[in-house]
Amino acid sequence: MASQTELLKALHGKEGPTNTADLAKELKTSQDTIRALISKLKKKAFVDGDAKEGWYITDAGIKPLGAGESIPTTIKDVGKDELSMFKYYGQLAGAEPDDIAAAAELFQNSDMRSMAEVARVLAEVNVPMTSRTKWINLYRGYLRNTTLPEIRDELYPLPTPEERRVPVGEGAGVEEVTRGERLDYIVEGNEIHRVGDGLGEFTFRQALQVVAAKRGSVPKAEGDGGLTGALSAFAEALKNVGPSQPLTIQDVINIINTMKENQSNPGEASVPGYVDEDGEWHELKPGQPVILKRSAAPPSSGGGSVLVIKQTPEGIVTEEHKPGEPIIINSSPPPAGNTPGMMPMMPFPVIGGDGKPVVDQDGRPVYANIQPMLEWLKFQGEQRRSDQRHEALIGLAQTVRENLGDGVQALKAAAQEFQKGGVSTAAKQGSPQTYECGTCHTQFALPQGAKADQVKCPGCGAIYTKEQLEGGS
Amino acid sequence: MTSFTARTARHFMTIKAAKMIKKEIEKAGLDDLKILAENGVSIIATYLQGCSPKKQAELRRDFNGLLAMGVTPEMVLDEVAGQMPELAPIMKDKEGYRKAELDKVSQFLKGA
Repeated sequence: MASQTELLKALHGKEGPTNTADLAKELKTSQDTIRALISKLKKKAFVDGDAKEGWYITDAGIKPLGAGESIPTTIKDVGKDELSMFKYYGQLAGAEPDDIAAAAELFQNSDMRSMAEVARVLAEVNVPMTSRTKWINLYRGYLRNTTLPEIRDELYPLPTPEERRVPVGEGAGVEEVTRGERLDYIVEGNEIHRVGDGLGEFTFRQALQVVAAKRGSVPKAEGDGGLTGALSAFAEALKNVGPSQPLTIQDVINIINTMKENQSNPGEASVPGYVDEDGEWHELKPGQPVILKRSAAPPSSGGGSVLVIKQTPEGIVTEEHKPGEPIIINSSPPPAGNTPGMMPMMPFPVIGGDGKPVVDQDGRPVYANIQPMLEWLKFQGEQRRSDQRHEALIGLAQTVRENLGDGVQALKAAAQEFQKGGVSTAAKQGSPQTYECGTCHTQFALPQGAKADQVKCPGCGAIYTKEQLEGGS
Repeated sequence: MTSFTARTARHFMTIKAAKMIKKEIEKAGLDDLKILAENGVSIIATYLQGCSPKKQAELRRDFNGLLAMGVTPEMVLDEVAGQMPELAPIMKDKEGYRKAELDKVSQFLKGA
């Protein structure tokens, strides 16, 4: 992974600006890493430029390179969140990068504002005590600075002089006590709590070792190995917990003795029992059944209500229903075309005299409900069409009635025509056939009662035969 | 040679057709019918020409049915005259009238 110094060196050798991709290729790292380093260096004014034109080193960035200095990680390089600060303080404390990464991995899944968690994580990662103490104190200072002054001392108390690191050995100085030797701590579950000066059960170191043992890093003693074998295994395990600070057998014995002393009755732990809802411990005799009752979940109060949002002609309405109450959902209204009711109103903004939409007091546009007017216009149109259709049907019926023939009426009409002295068209059609004389052009009909073979013209007296009449007609 | 049943059927159908015609033309009144007959106006033809096309189609179908059974227009016209004694002298005495009446009916049956 490239560092800021390497990036500065890479930029120092360039004559012009260099883009991010080329830097990533040269330093054999990802472009994201280059961008992160560029961002940090830019804050320090060591580099300048932009992603388009490229990056170049500034005079301020050349100076540390000329002096052979490496660009340190500063507070500006890290984020302001707990995890970033935790890692940053690890670097300041001189911890190994691997330890920092491992501790950060564990720390981010815990309560990052708990000093107990900090101590636990650092103990699990086996950070050397020299770095661990610095790291804890730095992080405590950060937590105190980000806490209200009223509760700062309560939540993150400063270590007492006895708890401060004091060298207890000579030479290498690795044998040291990080906390006071007084029994100020107790262990609950896997958590260490400080209960006051001399009021606890363990020293801090003992508490850490107990927690480590509870977490399973301590192998169980062999079945018939006896107390000595178990203690030896325990001691070996604790060596793994703090390899840079090996424990003596005497420390382990002290831990066990402390545990034993704090147990009021050594045999009590082996007695089976259970704790009831009130927190009282009850002893169980061999063969005594334990009846487990499933406690009903308490009814939620207040927060369990259900909100139902409905679209109504008046707008969107929200109704609140309590748990257990039935929710009646009305069926959606039928299509407006089949009902005489109101159709859902379409947004129709009201336009003022100035041609701009009218708004209400809150600045929202005002919409007009023109649905009644549309209904009225629709009704008028339907009525008009209905009247026109009715009139057309009446006219058509009258026309049909006038044009439809009636045989009886034809007979009456023809008779009336003869009564008036004329001859109707129908009568003409029904009258006997007439003929016209070719000589005098006199119209004549066959005389009644005469033979049809010969007909005499009443005008000139010319005689026509039947064949002549049929052929000339 | 036709059977007795066929002849009987023709007879009854002729009477029925004449009754129907009599019933229709009587609606116009005997006086009017006499006027038309005396003036040589074909009563049947006038009636048929005055009917609606739909009615004409029905009557044409019925008359053609009678023709298929062997009932001729002459038979029906003679029966009408027999059932209407007021018009019978006029219709029978005027030979041209009867002929003109039959010609009109024939033209009507042909769809003219």
